[in-house]
Amino acid sequence: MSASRSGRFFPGVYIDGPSSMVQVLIVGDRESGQATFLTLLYAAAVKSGSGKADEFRFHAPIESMETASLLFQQLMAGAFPDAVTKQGIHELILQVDSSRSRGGFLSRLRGKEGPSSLSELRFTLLGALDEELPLMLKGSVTAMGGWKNILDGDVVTLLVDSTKLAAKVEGSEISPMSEYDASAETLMSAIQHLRQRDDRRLVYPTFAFTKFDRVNPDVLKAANVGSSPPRIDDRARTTYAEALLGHNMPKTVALIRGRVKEGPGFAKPAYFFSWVRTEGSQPGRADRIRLRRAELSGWEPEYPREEYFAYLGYLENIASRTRA
Amino acid sequence: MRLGLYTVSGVKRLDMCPCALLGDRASGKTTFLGLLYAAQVKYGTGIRDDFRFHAPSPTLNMMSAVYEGMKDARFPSATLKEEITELGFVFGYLRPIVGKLPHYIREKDWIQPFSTLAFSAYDVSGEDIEEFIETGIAGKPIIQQLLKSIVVVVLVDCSKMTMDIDTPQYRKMISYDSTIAKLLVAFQTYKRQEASRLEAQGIYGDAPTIYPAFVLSKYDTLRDDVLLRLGLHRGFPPLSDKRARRDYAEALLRVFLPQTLSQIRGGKVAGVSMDKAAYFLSWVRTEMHEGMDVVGAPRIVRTAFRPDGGGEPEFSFDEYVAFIEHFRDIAHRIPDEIRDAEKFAATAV
Repeated sequence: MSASRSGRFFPGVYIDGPSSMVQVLIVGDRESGQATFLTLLYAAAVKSGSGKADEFRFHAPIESMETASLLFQQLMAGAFPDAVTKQGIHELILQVDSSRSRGGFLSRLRGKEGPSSLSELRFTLLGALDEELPLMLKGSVTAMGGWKNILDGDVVTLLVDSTKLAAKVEGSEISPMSEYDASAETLMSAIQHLRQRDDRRLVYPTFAFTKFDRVNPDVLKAANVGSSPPRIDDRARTTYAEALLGHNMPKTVALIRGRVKEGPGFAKPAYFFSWVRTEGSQPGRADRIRLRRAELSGWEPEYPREEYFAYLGYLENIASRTRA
Repeated sequence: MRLGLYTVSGVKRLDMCPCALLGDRASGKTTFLGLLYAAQVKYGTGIRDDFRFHAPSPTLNMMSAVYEGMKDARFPSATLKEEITELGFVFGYLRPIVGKLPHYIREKDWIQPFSTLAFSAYDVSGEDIEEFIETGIAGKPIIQQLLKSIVVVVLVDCSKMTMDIDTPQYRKMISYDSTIAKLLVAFQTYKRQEASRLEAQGIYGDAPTIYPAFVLSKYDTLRDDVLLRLGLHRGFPPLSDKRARRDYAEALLRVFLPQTLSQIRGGKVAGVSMDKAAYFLSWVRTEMHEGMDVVGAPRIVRTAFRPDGGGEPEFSFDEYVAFIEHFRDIAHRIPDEIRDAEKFAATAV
């Protein structure tokens, strides 16, 4: 049972708002699919939130609904977010009932988790790291746009464009991801530096491999890994991801791995894989998202919904730790 | 909101509880209102006299004109729809305790015999609403009135339900889903803010609640391939089986209004319960010519003449009665919340 300030009880109604907030910073390079990532995240929430089992509930505040619903409409029409919409996306807020992960329906019915199981997940798109490093990371004391949230970020999600992953580069040849790696390392070390005197909480780094359906098979072969990543709950997933990142983002990985020596900074990273199938591209026409007919359901894009749902679950767990 | 004395229908000194009726353009709103008028005339003139209905004269004129047209086998014309911009009507339900009083006491002026709900119909494609969604500012009175609604009736046009994603109908439905989902979130936000303001004034009420009702309009036009794809049979479950009705309707909403369904459920997360959703059907039988396309406007099938009447449009009368009855409990329950709001308004002055 949850209680309002008046002392009255309202089973399952979160009258006092979210009890914890997780700020998620999303970073990527140009064309890494930041807007698509956010769109698919919202689509996964809608799909689960309207599911027959009624095991997941979320609320999108009105300031997020305008953009989110527009992205969703475009997605369901088979289109990627257009340039205008991309310009308008800076943030997505989802308030999530976390009781599903700790007792599910019965727990919610009893209201045992009460208001303490409501989390606010605030996703901020920081921008393209490869275009320009924010002035803040170059020593300026002022920050623009989403970069202002760097100090408050709980989770940093680094999008890794899988089409740019390369097999091990020999000699003096530069890896296609080296610039992004350097920028990401600068960002992460800046966050670490800025947080040195603030031991309030860990920063949780996550890597999201986007466009993973288009990864070069030679890259997988060279990394000695299979064509599809291990299941979400499989420990081999870390090995799989690190085999791909090892020589593509060595600086960032090394910085995050060194977390123990550097004191409280980064938590153990988590890895997620994303893709959305497209129709065969035609010359002069933009790529279109392929929609499939789901069993006893309508149309939906072909994408790994379970990955996005796992990502949401991962963030909810962080929220519950914050509460603890 | 106290609107003074109504004498036309015998509904006295109303505590008006605003209710919104939302529908896309050409979703069957006018037809719905015409059939509702027919149902409430028939139902409201029964022996029990525990339900009354009132509408301002422009609305009444239009609803009766629509109904008269239907008795001539015609659907409402576009011209008729354009004649009126604002539609509103009031349901009055006899309070249970009043029903037990002797008739001579019931007739006294100081008795408020009816709990009332005031419905207003909105075209969600209307510029006012779109402007509000885009700016987030409820500047116009019509929007302020809309946001105060405690009951939200959403018309879902079954003729636009198609599995063919390249059709305008499909795109319209997805767009309608976005609009309704945004409106529901706006309702939730407004209710939550109002409750917080009341609490700040030391006025504590129950958790804010909105009662949604979905009307699946033009149900007879729902395509077989849609039903087949969703594993549904033709024919809505009976009124007695609320759970089966909800499952059936949600199976359709899950496909065609997924954002709306998720935000209805997410109401509790936002601190505003919208869990008590109800689902109703609306259909009116039209003439079919086997193996032939209907030329011109479709014509309504009318019932055969019988000793107790006839010559009326054949429509889902029982569903309309269920729709009317669904709001009886809600009407009896709501005034406390209205009084809280009034108390708050009084203290704010």
